[in-house]
Amino acid sequence: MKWVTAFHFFVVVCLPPGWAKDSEVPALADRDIAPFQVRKTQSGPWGIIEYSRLILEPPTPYIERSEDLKDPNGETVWNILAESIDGAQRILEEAEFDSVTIRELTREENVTVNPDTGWFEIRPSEEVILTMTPEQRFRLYPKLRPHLAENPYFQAFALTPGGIRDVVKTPTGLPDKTIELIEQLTYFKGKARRFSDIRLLFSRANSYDEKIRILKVLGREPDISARLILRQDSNLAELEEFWGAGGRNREVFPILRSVIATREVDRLDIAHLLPPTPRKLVHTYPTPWGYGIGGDAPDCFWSAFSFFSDSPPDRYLDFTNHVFQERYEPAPPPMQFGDLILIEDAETGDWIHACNYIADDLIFTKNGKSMGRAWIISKLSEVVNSYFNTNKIKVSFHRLKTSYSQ
Amino acid sequence: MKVLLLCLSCFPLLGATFLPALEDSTRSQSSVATKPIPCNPGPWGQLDYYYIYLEAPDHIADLISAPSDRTIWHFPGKTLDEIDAILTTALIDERQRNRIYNDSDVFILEPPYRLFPAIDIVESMNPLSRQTLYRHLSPWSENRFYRRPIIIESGDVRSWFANSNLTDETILHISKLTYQLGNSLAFSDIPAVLTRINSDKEEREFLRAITRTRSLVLRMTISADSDFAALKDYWTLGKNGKDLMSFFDSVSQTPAVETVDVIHLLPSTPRKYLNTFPSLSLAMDGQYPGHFWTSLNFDRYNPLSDFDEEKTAISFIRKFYQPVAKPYRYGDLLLFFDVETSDVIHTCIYIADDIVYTRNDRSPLRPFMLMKIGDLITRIRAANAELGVEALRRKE
Repeated sequence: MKWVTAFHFFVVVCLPPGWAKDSEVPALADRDIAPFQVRKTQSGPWGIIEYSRLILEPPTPYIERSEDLKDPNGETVWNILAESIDGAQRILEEAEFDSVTIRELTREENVTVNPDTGWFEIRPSEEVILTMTPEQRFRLYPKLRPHLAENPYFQAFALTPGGIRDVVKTPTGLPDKTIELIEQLTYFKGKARRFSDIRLLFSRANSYDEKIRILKVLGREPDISARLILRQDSNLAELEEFWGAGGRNREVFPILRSVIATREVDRLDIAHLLPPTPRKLVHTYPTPWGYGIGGDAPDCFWSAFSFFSDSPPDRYLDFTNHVFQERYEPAPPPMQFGDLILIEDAETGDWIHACNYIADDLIFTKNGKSMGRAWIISKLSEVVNSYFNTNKIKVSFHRLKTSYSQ
Repeated sequence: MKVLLLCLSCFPLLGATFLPALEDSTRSQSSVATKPIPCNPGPWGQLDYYYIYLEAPDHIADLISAPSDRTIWHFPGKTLDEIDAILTTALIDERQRNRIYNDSDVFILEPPYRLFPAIDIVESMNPLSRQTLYRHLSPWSENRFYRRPIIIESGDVRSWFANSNLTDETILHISKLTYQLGNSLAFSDIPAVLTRINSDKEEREFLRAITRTRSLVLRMTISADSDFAALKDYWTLGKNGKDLMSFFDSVSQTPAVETVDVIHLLPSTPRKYLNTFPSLSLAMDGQYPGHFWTSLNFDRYNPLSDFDEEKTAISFIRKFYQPVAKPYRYGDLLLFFDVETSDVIHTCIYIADDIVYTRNDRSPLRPFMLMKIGDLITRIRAANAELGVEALRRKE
């Protein structure tokens, strides 16, 4: 509980404008974990949880539908919206390219103007891309058009706080040099690590299958497999109080009681203790025949607000602000199972992410709307770092009012 | 698994006529019910399971209306002579029979006849006598405790009610009132036990304890030597299983994970409900889910309520399923039917070895659970003498 208390209620975390250096990251991240060592949480009202790390990889059929594979042999093109080539050069200057590089990038033979959009299309050489600093990527890439989700510069691949190395501890099927290249091309948005240069990576891949592998590895997420340790002397009343979530999750009492009474069985997978919806979703990816309407797929807000719902309301695909205003109140410590954790941009108040508290510093989360993002159990510190992509973020904790069951 | 589900015959829904009566299953292994028990080896991998005893949560158990402590035997459609013959067959002697008739005089003036045996007569019956009489009483729905007795699959009353908060005296009392049903013990004399219970608290504990159902927690042991490709092939249900396989791929590559709870290998819907009692939201369409709903929605991400209607369910099975012979595969539908009438008695889903996924009743007191096939057969045979079974698989 100590760690969560430090974050509790709401915490505004500030960063200097711009980007963060690698050495700044471990402050919030749990970086000391030997890859797959079984660990235990602190003891608390939840009992003691034993957990081990997993690495989830999106299923191939989902990857095959990726926008990045629509033109798998396409070259790197930077689309810049500017009134003139001078304007395009100014954007490159703001990204701190030196004058020689800018002249090279904007030479007539390297630039075309798209007749439909009016954008200046710049084709950087491989050398330019490889020699860019993370700060240059941070400054330039968000400005590249179009400002749509399928543009990897605007909507970059979100890497975990430890970068690609966090998710390549199991076989990747990729050459080491590819992993090294991803590492080299990684940059920071706030404290969050991002990757955009998929075209360069593809240009070096030997086959279509290797491009699939690249996308699968970039889509990997660290997950946690957790088990509650139960013994005959466990405090059943305390455990029921915690996992029952004020009566909202009392369906788990029978199995909890039964396993406690069972000799020679002292571990129960946490999935058995989750309410119906997260239990159904945990460790899985969204499916085309599952939740979602049209292009509105389940995201973090849908997932977090559906935590106690027997059947997640489709209405949560539209918006959840009204539910938040009406049904939730600030959660005083100690944290309770299922509490809603909201990460906001501290300056604008925009919601960035939401997830649910499980126990100790474990949370249930879906990190992104994409079909390639699974529902996972994670550590709050890691999720906060993953979404630390603005100068200041606010982390706040909320609880369903007692008059609401879901 | 020398279970009978293997005696495949024609499927009555598809025009079949007869399936031989089922043999009895092997006796449940569980005088030491709380130890993990290994499954037989097979394409499902190295599995073990342990029993868990699920009691309805308080908010559901509190809905149970306590019956009277007077034992009632209903004999609808029977004459007094026929009733006397039944009691005689059940080894109830003439003196006791006369006492029963005297105690029931108002209620034997005209049919349908009801008898009210005194507690000492009920308690003095031996197990064989009880078994014989209660089998006669079971076909009539008026005799709810005899029609749907409490089945103690383990055959061990003490371990069945362990940690139930029942007193030793109550457990002993129940034990004396049990009778053999297939390879399990059955218990019907709830009113008789209530005669010895004096406090409201104990009465609630008793009524909750008799909702106990034995389910399983099924686990897979994995190691570097495991054939993950074969395991994945077994546990994948066509396209609907693929979303689960990322987790399996992951654990197969993670050295620290040696055991996987099979809940993670089940499709979304059974994973959502396994080992829980149905919540009220599942009855929003007018009734709690039955066995058809449970079986036919096994691999559906979003369950269809249409399957609650038997006609729709059978029509769906006819259209989309085909009979299969052993070996059965994960996800196969097992359909149990009354040999005499061809009526469908129950359906469930084959998981692995001799374990099925099932929900045995529409009642909110019945959980979604894993069960040994032999135990399931004992349970659904309680009210059905001759049972047939057919295995069916979704057409490609």
